[in-house]
Amino acid sequence: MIEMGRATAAALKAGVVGGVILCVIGLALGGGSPGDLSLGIGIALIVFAPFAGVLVSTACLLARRDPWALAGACLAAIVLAGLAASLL
Amino acid sequence: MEPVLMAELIAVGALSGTLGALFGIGGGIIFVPVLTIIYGLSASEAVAVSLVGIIASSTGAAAFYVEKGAANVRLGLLLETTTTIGAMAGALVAVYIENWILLAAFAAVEIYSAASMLLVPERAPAPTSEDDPLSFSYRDDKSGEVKRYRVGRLAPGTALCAAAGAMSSMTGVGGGTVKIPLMNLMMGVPMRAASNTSNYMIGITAFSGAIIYLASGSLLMEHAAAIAIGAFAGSIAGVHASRRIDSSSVRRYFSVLLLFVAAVVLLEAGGYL
Repeated sequence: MIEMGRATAAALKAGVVGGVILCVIGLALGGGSPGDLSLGIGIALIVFAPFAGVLVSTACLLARRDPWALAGACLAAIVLAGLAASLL
Repeated sequence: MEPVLMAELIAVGALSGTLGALFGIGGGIIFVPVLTIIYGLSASEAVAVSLVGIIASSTGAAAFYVEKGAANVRLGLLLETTTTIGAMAGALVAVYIENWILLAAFAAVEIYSAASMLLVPERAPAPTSEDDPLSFSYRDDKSGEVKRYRVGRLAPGTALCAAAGAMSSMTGVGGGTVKIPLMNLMMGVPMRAASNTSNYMIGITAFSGAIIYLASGSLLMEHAAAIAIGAFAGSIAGVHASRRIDSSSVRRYFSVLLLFVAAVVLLEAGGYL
């Protein structure tokens, strides 16, 4: 079974490191389509990383039938509901 | 973007990211005044850029702390649930309350927390049994020891996190400076574990706000990218610095930081910022 700490850390790291690399590339390319695209994807990756961490933590807890999975599931549902309400 | 401006924003991000990762506070208290006063961004532009910086710094630090077992993910998920509900409620209520009253109340909480942390010795109740679901452990980076503790007053602590979330969304100041004292003073979570857990939680709180700015197209992408690069680099520096500082010193420095935050918030309440 995947260890929750390692899996969550991997999700967080993938988002933030990948995002920062794309931001560096975007700033190096300067204004224009390729640079703007790189910045956009990079910032989106950084912004989504914490939520990806919640989803991975919750999935690991669910797989272990850990009762704390309920907290993760509630948090994911609340965040998504809040987002939907804000964006609509 | 001008190279000089880019370098300055990266430096601001690095400074804030280091402090944020070290103490679990995110760094918005530095980002927003600097971006508005020095760089002339509007309040909403500064908040949007700040949220991306907060996520980069807290997530960079949390990735390390979670992997090393130094943050309490389970407790973080639970407390973040009520924090998020509180933040949503706070955003709805904020329009009915004078901003200076909210800021003054926030500063009072910060001063009380700082005084308590300076004057009251840390107590972390030991677990009563191995099977206790509220018993946790974390690895102290400085000593390398695995320390066990029991989370106390879970229900009131979780409920008060809603108040922390509401206060945070009403004042625009990050919740880390409220949640860490709450976890440490009320719930008996050791200072180091509390600040590491806060790093994990802060990114989740900031995500909800940042995604709205990103979707609306109102985020200054180049500013946000430069701040995020600096904040991520700063978070790595903060994580390394935390290995050299023992838990009691972190608590003492954090108290001083709370007093600084209270002073900034009081200046804002008085209309000086």
